[in-house]
Amino acid sequence: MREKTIYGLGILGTLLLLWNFYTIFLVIPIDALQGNIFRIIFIHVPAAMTAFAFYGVAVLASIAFLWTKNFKWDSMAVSAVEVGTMFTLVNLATGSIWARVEWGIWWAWDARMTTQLMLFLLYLGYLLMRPAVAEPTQRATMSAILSIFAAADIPVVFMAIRLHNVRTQHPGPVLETGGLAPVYWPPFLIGIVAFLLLGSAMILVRLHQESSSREIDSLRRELHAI
Amino acid sequence: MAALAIAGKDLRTEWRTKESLNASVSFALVILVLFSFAFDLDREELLAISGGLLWLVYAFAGALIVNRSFARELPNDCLDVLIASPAPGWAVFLGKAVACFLLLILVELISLPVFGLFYNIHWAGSIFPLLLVIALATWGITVVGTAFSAVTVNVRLRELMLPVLLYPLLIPLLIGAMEMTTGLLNGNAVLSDIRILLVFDAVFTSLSIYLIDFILVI
Amino acid sequence: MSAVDITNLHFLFFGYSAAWLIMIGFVFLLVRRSRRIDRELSRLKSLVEDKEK
Repeated sequence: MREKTIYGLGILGTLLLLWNFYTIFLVIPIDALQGNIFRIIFIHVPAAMTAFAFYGVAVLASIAFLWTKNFKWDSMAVSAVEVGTMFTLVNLATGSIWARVEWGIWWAWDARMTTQLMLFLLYLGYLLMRPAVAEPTQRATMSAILSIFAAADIPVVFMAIRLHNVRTQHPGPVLETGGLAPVYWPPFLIGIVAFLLLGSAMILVRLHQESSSREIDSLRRELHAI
Repeated sequence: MAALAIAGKDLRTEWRTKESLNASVSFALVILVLFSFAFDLDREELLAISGGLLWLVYAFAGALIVNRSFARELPNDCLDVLIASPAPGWAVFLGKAVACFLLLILVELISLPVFGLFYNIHWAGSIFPLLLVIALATWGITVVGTAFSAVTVNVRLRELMLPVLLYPLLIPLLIGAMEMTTGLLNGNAVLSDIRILLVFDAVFTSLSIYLIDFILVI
Repeated sequence: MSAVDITNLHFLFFGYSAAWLIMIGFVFLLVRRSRRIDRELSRLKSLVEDKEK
């Protein structure tokens, strides 16, 4: 049942993504101002939104763990953080390439990209800390605390960078999603759905790995006891 | 009351050995010297980066101090004793945070004249706004640093993990502090970013106090 | 096509390639980890069975 769900989600997500590519490359009219590079938005922004969604899941799972002390919440948190971090990396890479074409520089310290970088760094620390703690309960509690601190920091980061940028006048991304022409909305939304499906499939795989790891731990203890 | 007792204990211990105080001050001075070799700047450029430079030094020194905060309780099971004592978790946390705060302020006040000397920057003119910025930002550093010191107390490679976890979180605070300090050192007494410091301090003080029981029981 | 268009297309290709490489790389890491965990699990299970006999 679980396997079927994972395969189902994965295949559905991949198919949607492929269909989306057809739309993106062959159907959509080209943007007059930015040219072909504009098409990268159909990966760049959905990846960011998917990452945000999964980070949100991670924070909720972290709070649930602290509340219930049930390890399945810890598994959910680490899975969501890993997949979210991967999507954030996709977002940063595509954003950097877009910036290179648009403004000639590989990185612009604007509010959105820097917030994404901050998210990446914060949750990278989370992923780095986990292997450093041997005891499962300690590890899960610490991860949960870190995750909540990281999530609390994000609005402050956004506020700080926006205030900072007002004076230094760095270039900001021209795109505001509100200003997206109607013809671009379908592939955009389908892209988000496709990424969410694929991401969910990856999280389910990761969840299964976590429960297998717990089973390994208990088997090891049993072997020691025998 | 328990918080004050714990703060007093930490400060007294530190004052007798002065180990992290010495380490921090030396580290801060060394970094100040290194930075002077790293850049070859004229007066304008130096004033432009002055705030950033100062807060980098303070952040590095701060990590050293907060790292010791809970780590010093590890030998002889002192940490277990603290947790088992009738003092509530938040009192232990606040006591340690206040002690770190005072120690870090001391390091910063020692480094500030040295900074002014090496880089030929006049800081005495806007001393009161500067002290306000230093106080607020230092409280932010110590409150988050002490919380993370508690979180990482049992982690392998603690000295390495604490900065890796701490600095990304501190970035908005440091941005605000750096901007304002640069402005103040350049002679504009404008505290436009004070909101960031206040919001950061409020959010993370309350979050740390609320979560400290979960952190300490591990 | 103008030179700008060609440059644009090059970078578009790099962008999409980077995204795909990162996603495929992650899936690869997941698969490798799954294999390692399954191997360890079956090894431990057989060890426990042997000890119980």
